[in-house]
Amino acid sequence: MSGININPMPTSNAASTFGVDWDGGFQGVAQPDPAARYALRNGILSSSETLPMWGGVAINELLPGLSGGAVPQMGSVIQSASAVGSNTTGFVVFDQAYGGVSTPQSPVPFFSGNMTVAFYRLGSGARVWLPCSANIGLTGGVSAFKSQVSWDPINRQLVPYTAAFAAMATATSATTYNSTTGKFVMTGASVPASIAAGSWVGVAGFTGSAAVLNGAWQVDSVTGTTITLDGPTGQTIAGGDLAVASGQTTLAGGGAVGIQGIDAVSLSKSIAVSYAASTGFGTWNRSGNTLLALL
Amino acid sequence: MPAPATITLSPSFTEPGMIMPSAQASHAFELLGGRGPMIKLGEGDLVVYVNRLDVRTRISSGQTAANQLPGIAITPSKISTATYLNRLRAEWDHHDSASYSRNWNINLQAAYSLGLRQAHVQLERNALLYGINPSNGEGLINTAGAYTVTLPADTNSHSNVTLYDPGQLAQWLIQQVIALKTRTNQLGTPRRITMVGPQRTLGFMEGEIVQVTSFQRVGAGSATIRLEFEKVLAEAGGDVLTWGYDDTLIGKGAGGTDMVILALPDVEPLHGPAGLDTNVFAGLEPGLNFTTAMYQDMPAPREIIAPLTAGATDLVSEKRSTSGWGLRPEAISLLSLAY
Repeated sequence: MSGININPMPTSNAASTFGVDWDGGFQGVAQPDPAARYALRNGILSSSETLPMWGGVAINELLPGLSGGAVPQMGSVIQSASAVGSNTTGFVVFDQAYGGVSTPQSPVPFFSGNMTVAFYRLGSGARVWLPCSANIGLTGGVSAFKSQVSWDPINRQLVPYTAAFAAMATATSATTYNSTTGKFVMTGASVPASIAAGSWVGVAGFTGSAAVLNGAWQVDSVTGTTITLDGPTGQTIAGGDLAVASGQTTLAGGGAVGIQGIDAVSLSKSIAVSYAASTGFGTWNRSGNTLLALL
Repeated sequence: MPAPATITLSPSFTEPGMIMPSAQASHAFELLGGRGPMIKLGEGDLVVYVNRLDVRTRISSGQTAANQLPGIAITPSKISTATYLNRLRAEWDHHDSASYSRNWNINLQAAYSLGLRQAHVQLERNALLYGINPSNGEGLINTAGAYTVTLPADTNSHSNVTLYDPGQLAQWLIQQVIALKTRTNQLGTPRRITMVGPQRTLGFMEGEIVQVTSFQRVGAGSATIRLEFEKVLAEAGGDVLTWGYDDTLIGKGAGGTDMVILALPDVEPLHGPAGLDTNVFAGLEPGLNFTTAMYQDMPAPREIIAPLTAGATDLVSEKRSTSGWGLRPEAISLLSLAY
């Protein structure tokens, strides 16, 4: 179960308190709206969730079981969305969620497993500031309000849209991995047309020490049928685990995250969440990127 | 140790006054907001927290009214630092005190009491500048995010203070103050600027005259580096410079250079004209105007004195203090100057 790391005696300071103005978005906060506020729901963060939860994270909402586990009165069981497009049903927000725990070293209010989290469902009509990558592609000139975006479940932010594609089975039995750069190479019989450098794809099927390569990754480059992916750095993966059988691993995913539209984008001036997986601490990035999404 | 017996000639005269060791009276505490530690801690407080507030806004604008509006988000969070209980003790018996008063005209208890206080303030000075636990980000020179700069070479390629062109050195110092006030949005308002460094570095600036050149420059031929620095700051921005010394800063700069700490310890939020104040949010109370802080539980150490058996006395001295704490790192400039 996810926990909340605490260092009781850090020395921290209040950086970034001098600015020119305070215009910008605030990750995980819904815009005030007398109608949409009544669509705010509570759920219980899944006891099997391995990471803490905070506002602005895409979630996959599960109905509570009829017996065992959390009681239905606590609402849906909430998990963080794990796929690029397909399994997002809503977004966690900070609104009314004053149970989140904030500490000097990890000031972002965090929710651990079995805690109540507040969220808006897709389709609720709420407008929520969501974290996005700086290259979201909506900065120059006008963009379509209906611009589609995908969800990066590793960095937990909205990223440029990658069209959904059918699962691609790997064709060869060898995968290379560079622990310094994190890049690894997969080769398919034919690469789906929607996969290009910058696309976000899901990888499944690795086992053993190579299981860390399962997940959603950004495509570094595509050459013929060879796809180089930006994977995790610093992993120790046995050669035998990389030498997978043809068809054992698949590339899948893509797809829009399912928001109805984008109201505004605020790059480099928003307050966004920065999560350090190595320490488990969440800090505010006061020059972050957010976009205002109509859910 | 007890005072020794002595052998003197008679007749003779012994001067009643005594030559005391003289430690440098550090000005380091001038670097603190409010010009000194804040006596606010309770005896057992382990950690000090200071709250901060963040805000972001978005507004709708149009010729007619919309109902789906953007808004404001605020969030509070805490910063913290640890406190430390500092203790030491002295013990003596009545023969010790008698040996001092009889032959040496010294009140031993008074000497020990001041000596214990000396130990406290020495530690507190080190805590202020370098932190009790430096690796935890304590101490002003370990402030995460503080502005750091090394004195660059002058136009004659000299980068040592003693060889530096005096006029250019004064100009560089003025620029550091301007940069400090720019980072903290304090330009245009007189402020108390504190600069603390080693005697040899700052002292050199008090004796070196800005040279006359073929072109006119302030203070040429008459003003020292310090005088030109202070004069320009006072005349241009109305700033009052607190100029102070602490020789523990020798060698504490980057690469073994001398460290000079420049700080703007008190920043009041500046406000624009009434009704058009683009800093109106900062008027929310209660605000804290200090950028550096040190918290303590009492202004002087508590002394616990108790008799021991056989005529001895035990004196314990204790006080709780934080390290020096750079609350708002933008208000601290760490200048590395090669002597």
